[in-house]
Amino acid sequence: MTRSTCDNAAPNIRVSGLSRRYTKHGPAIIDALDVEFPAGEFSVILGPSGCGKSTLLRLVAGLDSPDAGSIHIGGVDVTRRPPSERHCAMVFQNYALYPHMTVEDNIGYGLKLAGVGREERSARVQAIASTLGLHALLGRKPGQLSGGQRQRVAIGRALVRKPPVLLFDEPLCNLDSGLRQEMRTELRRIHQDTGATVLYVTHDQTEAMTLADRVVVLNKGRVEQIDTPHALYKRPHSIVVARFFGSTPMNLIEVMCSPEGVLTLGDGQVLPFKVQAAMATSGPLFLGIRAENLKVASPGVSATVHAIEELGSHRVIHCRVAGQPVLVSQSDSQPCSVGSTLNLWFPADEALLFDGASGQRISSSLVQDNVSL
Amino acid sequence: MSHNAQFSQRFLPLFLALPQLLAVLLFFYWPTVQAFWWSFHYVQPFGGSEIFAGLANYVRVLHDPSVLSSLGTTLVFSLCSTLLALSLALALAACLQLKVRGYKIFGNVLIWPYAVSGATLGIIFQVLANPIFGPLAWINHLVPEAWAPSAKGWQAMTLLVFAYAWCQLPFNIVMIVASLQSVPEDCLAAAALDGATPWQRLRDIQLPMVAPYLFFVFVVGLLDSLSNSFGLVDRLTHGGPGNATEILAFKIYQDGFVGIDLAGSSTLSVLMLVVVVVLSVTQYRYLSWRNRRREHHG
Repeated sequence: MTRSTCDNAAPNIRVSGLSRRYTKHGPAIIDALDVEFPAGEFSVILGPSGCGKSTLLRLVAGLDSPDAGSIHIGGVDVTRRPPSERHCAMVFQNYALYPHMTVEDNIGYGLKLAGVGREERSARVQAIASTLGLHALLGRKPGQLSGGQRQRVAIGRALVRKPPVLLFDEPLCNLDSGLRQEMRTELRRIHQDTGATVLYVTHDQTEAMTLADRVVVLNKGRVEQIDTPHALYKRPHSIVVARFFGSTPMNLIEVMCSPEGVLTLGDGQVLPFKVQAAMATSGPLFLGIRAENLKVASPGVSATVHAIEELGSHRVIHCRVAGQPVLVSQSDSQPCSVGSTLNLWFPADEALLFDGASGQRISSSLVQDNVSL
Repeated sequence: MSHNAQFSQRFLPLFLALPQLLAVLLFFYWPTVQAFWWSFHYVQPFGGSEIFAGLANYVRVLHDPSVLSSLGTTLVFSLCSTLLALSLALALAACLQLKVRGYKIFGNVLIWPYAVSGATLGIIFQVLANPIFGPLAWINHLVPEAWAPSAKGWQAMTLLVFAYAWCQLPFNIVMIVASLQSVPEDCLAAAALDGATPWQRLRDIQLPMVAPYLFFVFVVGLLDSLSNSFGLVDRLTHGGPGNATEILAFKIYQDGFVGIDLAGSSTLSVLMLVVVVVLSVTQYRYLSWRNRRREHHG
């Protein structure tokens, strides 16, 4: 297949001022949202459950109508258009196959409605089925298929009309982990083949990491951050993103900052770093550091070991630093036992600082301060 | 189910169920047994000795032209009214699905008539159908004597079919709305994205998925129309004109309690019971076969 599989060139999708609440005075599920999803990109919408990500997808698809705001697909305002006029195809979490139809009819139903003749329909269904490995199953009903097969049928049904926009609503969350990995590769390939604009809703870190060109992190109906997976991992803008993104969440340690920029832990230990004095604030700060950037080395901050998770390729050590939980990821197997005390050290340029009150990252780098240790 | 109530005494549950059991025995099983008994005997009108008749009553009844015409009338009445009630209910349930403004109120309003009894309905329709002062009287102003349900058999039957369909409508709507709601929302959303209009979604997705429920509603309606239509017929047409609307339930009553042919009407009752049992078993068999097939596939 080539990029020309789309009938129309993939459009960009822009939502502006989009709001949706389910009860008149209740909380907004989507709150004055402004996002643009670039044409032909694989955008993953990530967020904790209840953050409004599925609602956003349904609004884009036209399955739900917003209380305010607009949705433009390819520059055309589709806010009040029915789903059939938006040229989107969607893959649902529970597959949503038509149980009374065979696999062939399931995939071909959209073509049939579009008035495609029997022969061409059959040919196109066969073509899609062979790329998805469904050839032998065309005569079966959904009830006779396994979860993975159903998911492929659902994807086939979405792809057969060569839609310029593909929407995925947690499509892999009902599959076991082996199948999930296989389907991730498949989805990546499908995106490369079709060149469609993809919106992919998930709460799974790995899916976001491996699939996305860009990730939109939603929280409480608002955009928390839009970035590449790498940037989100390395430089989260806020505590929410730092906690949420990455299969091991970022360690966030509460520290106090003196007017001179000296950082102190709750138990009085002074950190070997200083904040530029201009950026120093009096309130509490959170020091963010990824588990794999913490090294067991002396000198460093003292930590007690609470538990050790052996994961084969590496191990995760659960420690407490000044009473706060800290995870350390270790790929070498240095001797270490529960209850013992470690010294933890980390490079200054891998640490981030967040403002405790606003939850936002402070754009200030740490300076090594050898004097204070 | 492991939620059965537990009683310490053995006879307490029986004792508690006694009033209900007595009522059922007295008003249902005893007359049924009596009808069976009488259908095999020659019975005197006002009591006295009964003589065993073998199948003579059945032979007589099945050769009686008035019985055969009543069976035909019943077939027309039951099929027409049940199908009409089913299709009207389906149309109304589909309209409720569109969720136009106030659809919840409409839903309630559509269900209320269920509480109206057949006899009351008969009187209401009698007024509605009155050829002189009813709402249809204008037909007779245009074409004199065109609308005369008490004189023209087919008009009486049409009236009866509509009246009975109207009284079956609420139950059917409740059942069909419930079954339509059992279709997963995402299936309909998927169809909408596939480009299906609401009508196409109803035809291609919802109806095939609720077909077993529709069959159930149809058979229950058919059974109901055999036995429960008596009150309506008695009030509205009284079997007439002639015997144009003399359905089986009404004929059993007429033969038995007006004509005092106890043996003949008992025989008809037994025949009707057989029809009802055959219909019920067919539907039960069909539904359980379907379920088994679904389990096998799912």
